[in-house]
Amino acid sequence: MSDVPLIPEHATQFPQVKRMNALLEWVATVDHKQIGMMYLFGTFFFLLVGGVEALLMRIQLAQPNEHFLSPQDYNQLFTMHGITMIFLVVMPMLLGLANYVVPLQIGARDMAYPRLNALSVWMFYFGGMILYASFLAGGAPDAGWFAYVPLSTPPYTTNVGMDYYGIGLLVSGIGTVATALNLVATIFLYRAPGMTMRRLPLFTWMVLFNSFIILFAMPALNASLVLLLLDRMLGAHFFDVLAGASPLLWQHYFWAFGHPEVYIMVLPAWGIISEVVPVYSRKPIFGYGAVAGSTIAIAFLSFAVWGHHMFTSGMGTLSDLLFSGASLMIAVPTGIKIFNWIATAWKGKIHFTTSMLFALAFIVQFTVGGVTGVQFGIVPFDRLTTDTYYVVAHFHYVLFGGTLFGLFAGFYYWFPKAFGRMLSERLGKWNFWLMFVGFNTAFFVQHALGWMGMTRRIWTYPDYPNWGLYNMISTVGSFILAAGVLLFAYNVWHSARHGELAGENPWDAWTLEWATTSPPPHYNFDQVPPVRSRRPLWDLNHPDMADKD
Amino acid sequence: MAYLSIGTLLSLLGSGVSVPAADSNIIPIEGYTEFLLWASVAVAALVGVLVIWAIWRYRARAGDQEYAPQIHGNTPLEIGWTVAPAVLLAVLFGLATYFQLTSSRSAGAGLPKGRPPDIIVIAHQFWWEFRYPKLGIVTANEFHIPVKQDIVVQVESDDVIHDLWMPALGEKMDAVPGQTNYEVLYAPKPGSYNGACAEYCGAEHAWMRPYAVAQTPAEFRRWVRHEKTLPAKPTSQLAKAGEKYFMSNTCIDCHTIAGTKANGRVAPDLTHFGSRKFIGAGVMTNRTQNLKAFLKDPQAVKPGILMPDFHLSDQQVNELTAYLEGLK
Repeated sequence: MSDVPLIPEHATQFPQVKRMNALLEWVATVDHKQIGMMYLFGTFFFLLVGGVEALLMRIQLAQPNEHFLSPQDYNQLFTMHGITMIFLVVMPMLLGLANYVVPLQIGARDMAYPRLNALSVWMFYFGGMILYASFLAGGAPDAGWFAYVPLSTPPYTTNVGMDYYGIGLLVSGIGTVATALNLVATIFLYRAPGMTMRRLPLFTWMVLFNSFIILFAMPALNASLVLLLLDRMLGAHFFDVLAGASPLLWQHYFWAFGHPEVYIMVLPAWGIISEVVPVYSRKPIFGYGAVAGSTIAIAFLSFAVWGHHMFTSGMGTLSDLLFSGASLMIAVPTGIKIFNWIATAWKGKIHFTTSMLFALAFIVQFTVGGVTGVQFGIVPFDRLTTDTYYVVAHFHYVLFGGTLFGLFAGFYYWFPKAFGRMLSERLGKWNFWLMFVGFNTAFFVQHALGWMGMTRRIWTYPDYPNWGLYNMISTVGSFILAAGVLLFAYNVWHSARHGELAGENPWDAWTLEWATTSPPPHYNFDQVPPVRSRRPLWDLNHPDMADKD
Repeated sequence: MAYLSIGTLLSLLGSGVSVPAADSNIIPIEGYTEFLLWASVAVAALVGVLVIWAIWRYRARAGDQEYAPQIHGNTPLEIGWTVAPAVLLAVLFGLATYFQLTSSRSAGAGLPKGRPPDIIVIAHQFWWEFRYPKLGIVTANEFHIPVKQDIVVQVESDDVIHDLWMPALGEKMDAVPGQTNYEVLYAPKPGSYNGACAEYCGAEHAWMRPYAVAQTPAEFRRWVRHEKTLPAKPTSQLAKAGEKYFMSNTCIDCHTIAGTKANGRVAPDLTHFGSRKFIGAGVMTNRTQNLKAFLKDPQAVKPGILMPDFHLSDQQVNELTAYLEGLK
């Protein structure tokens, strides 16, 4: 063995805190890679915060009639857990990854509007800080992330938490809209020569349609928040029942944003899976057209299904049935994706990297969350199971077993690009199995709990047969899951310094981000390779098997 | 047949779903529900098996650097897995819609079959008011119904949104202020059934548990007669003192006791409090020690309850307990 490394040591890309002015370089940056990192580190921090909130709840629920937390504390915790995970973790984490990856994937130098991009990330940070400042101001929001009126308005709220909810989400929401706009402009205007829309990498494709959903859905939330704040702070009467308003108005406003939001939180994760599964199966994506096209169908349908959150509110039978039909329809394009991913792995040469393990677990867990999702689209069934732990199990299978597992697949896949070093696969395997076992232990039993009549959002419960046992199992699982997440943090910290050098393209992948050094230089590319198909680097490295397009 | 399936599966997990026990709070699995659950299990299992098969069959052996055949798609296959789920979903939609539109037990915004409601439920933070308009009786948190009859329940709210849910007896429906919704309860056999508030409603959402007793028609009639009679007057010294204290303090502004001047409607009706099973909408069973603890400091027993701590002396607590327990 020669002592000379095969891969040259790379220059450090990110400003190191040790250096003079490094902090200023972070604060003043308009580089999409640095901004992407700021998103990812900020959201990972909030993942830990939201995780601690969840663990506190799980301790409280570990046994019946527990008094570890007061109901007031518990209600603030579950509200903040939901808000944190949705608005400060899953959504901005996906945007952060998109920020880092999309310009590289399309061979661009940066985002279309770098300064707007910097504004967005700071709006995210400020929004998060405003939300958490509520703890210091006398109490966090405690009316649920959905903030149903009249519970979220005086006289039923007793602290100022919901004002912080309104302002905090408004601030971060404006940042989200700006990022979506930025991504759309970047993808439309800054693609490398030869990269037609039909040759777009699927992650970029999904981010594009995700951004469209954001552009149409977030303003609905932002406007509703303004109305809620007017009601709360200036005594307006938009949602005042005594003044003749219907509490269902808020529910319609909120879910008209809230259900597209569910797709906002999953589309880019589908994109990650559509990149990762082909690369580690050594095969192109099976049915690019179907995977891409079904995304468009979902983007449209996502705006026609919000009513399935309101089947027990008494909207009327016709509304019930229309929303039910639309909700079931969305399962068809979703199913197409699942089958196409499996077909991609089929007849492949599957390499079980940590990234691939997360992706395969995603497919199965997301399907479990998907079939229970179909059940909630059916009106009479929804009226049995909604607002129970069956729902809690369902959406954690979608958002944790789905999106977060997808994100972890993405982290293991793209980390070498961003840091020039590989994440440890040995730690990675531990990371995966702890999370896989912990997640399923924590959440699978919750299906049964829901069926046994346990409702959501209760700070404690009576000692009914088996409730204590199942909740204890769930609590144990949640701690195993937490250990897995912490191990990931250690892996990042350790591998960023001591990991194996990665080189340009450690996975033999084929999209453009792998055509530049790891980490990429500030300007991203010395030279962008020619794009003649969906897999430019594949064509370059394997001319004998080049795609015909 | 119904219980020979998912029910068995769940009971294997230890939940005991297949045998609805006393105080049942479990959703029964029958009809379209069972079909839906099986279809879901089948789809999830299919995906799971395919993934595991692919992992096993197509794993790359160590050191294998070869490439897989570069397959880009297969249109007939893809049309197949588009159409098949669509057909399955259409069948599910048809079944459920048929059930929803034809079942006499479907909940919703409209009055089922144009029948006047048997029970009007008014939800409060954090307790339930049950009014029987045809029978002229009022009770709180605990209610009785005859078995094997569709009971039409009108659901309303006095403050925020709540949701009346009796898992073993039927669908749930939100109690929305300014709106009336309806649900239908059906008890297949006599027994007691636990319920819950299913829409988050504030601090004590957890302890807002309705409790139903399903009875044979004869027993139910006896209960109705009992509810219509006024509770016995207190006889012991202690209970009389308790009544005097109750009637001369603010208790009467929130609670009702039929036949007395206490006629508040903010807090649970206490007319036959002594014959109820629970205190504080499920937080404790109705026993002397529990009632004393509750009266001593309601906020300690049920934090967030709207009843304040009146800082009663032990003597006052004993008097009130004796009085309230005698209200049968």
